[in-house]
Amino acid sequence: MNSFNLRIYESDGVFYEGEVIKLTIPAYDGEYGIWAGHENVVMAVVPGILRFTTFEEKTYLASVSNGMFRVEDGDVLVLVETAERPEEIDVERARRKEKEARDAMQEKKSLREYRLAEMQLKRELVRLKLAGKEMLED
Amino acid sequence: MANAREIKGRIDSVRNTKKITSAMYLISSAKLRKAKEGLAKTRPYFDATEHEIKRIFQSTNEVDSHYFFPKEKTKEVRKQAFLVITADRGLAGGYNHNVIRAAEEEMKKHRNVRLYVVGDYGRRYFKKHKGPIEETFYYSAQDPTFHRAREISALLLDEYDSGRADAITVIYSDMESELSCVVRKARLLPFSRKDFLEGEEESTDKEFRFEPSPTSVLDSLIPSYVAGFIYGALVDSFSAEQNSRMNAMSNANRNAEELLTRLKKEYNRVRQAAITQQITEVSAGAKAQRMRRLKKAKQRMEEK
Repeated sequence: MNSFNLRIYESDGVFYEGEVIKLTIPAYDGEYGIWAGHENVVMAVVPGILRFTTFEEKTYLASVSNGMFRVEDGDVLVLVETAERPEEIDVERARRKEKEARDAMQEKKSLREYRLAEMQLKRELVRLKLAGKEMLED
Repeated sequence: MANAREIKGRIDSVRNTKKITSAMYLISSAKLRKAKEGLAKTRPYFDATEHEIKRIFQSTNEVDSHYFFPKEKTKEVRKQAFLVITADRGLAGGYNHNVIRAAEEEMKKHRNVRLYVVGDYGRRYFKKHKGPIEETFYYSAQDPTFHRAREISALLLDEYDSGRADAITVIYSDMESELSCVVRKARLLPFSRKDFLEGEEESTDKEFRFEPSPTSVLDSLIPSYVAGFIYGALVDSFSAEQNSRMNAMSNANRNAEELLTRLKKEYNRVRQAAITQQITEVSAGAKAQRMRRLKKAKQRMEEK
């Protein structure tokens, strides 16, 4: 099977770099799949679950936040603010943060705080979803 | 000349101070290394983001975002917002003063300025001098993290989006070399197309499809870019602060060293003088005793 080079950069480091066979990215209108030989495209990434499969037929999952990705001549670059593996997610912490975010949204402080809380809530929900998935697969 | 005990007391106090200053020196150098490691880790992401923004400009002309200078320079910049980055503490040579002086100079040039201050030192200074503080960020200067930078950038972007600020400028410090740091002023928003169009000329013949549109891709990149820029400024300032403190502390160590040599010399001199005096007294006393004994013996001889 044909493979392509994938780089995932997050704001505090390089998340993944290597050859993969298949990549699925959360985009504004649903999930976007990429195989080798994809046309050149630049697209925004929304918070969600990213998936990629390596040569050994192993599929990795990661929760990602806002950003963009670019396909250029078969080379894929994903830029996201944060990316986490399922094993890095602390479920207790995510639950607590989720509750905090919901409370903050209830309090109606200011538009900015509301938006920050909303973003936080989105991130935590994705985290919890990913952590839940991992448990089902085990 | 002071007496020996007084000098000894001063030597002890200088020694204690020196212990503190050399400990601060070590702490600063450790913090500096850590901050630099943090910055190096975010470099690939930040560089790639900048590169992509550049590319979006080069491959399409239809981008129009309010984050950019309008093509015709019609709009006048009225409301300025300054992000001033200072330290939380002093004892760092001229570090804080240089930043504050630069900020005050800039403030004189514009009429409508609001300040966003990072660091306790700057906050206290502008409060005392009734500066137009809009928002302060506590303890962000202490430990620059990307999370903090994102909070600051969210606030500034919100001010910008809502029209409460027409331009955002960052005033921060940067290490020029091991020995000197400089204050830098950088306009964060609006971007000018020129900044992104200049630089390396890329082949733009490649066709890219932008989904849903170039502007929406750009809008999702810009908050990260702004946060990345602020993070860079925070780390540069933090490094400059630690570096200034290291220099200040190594000067203090050197001064303490000099003071100690001088005090030790003085102490020894005083001690020597005291010993000499005691010997003189003892030998004079002994001589007097001997004279008395001789006199008495003479008297006894005469009586016999």
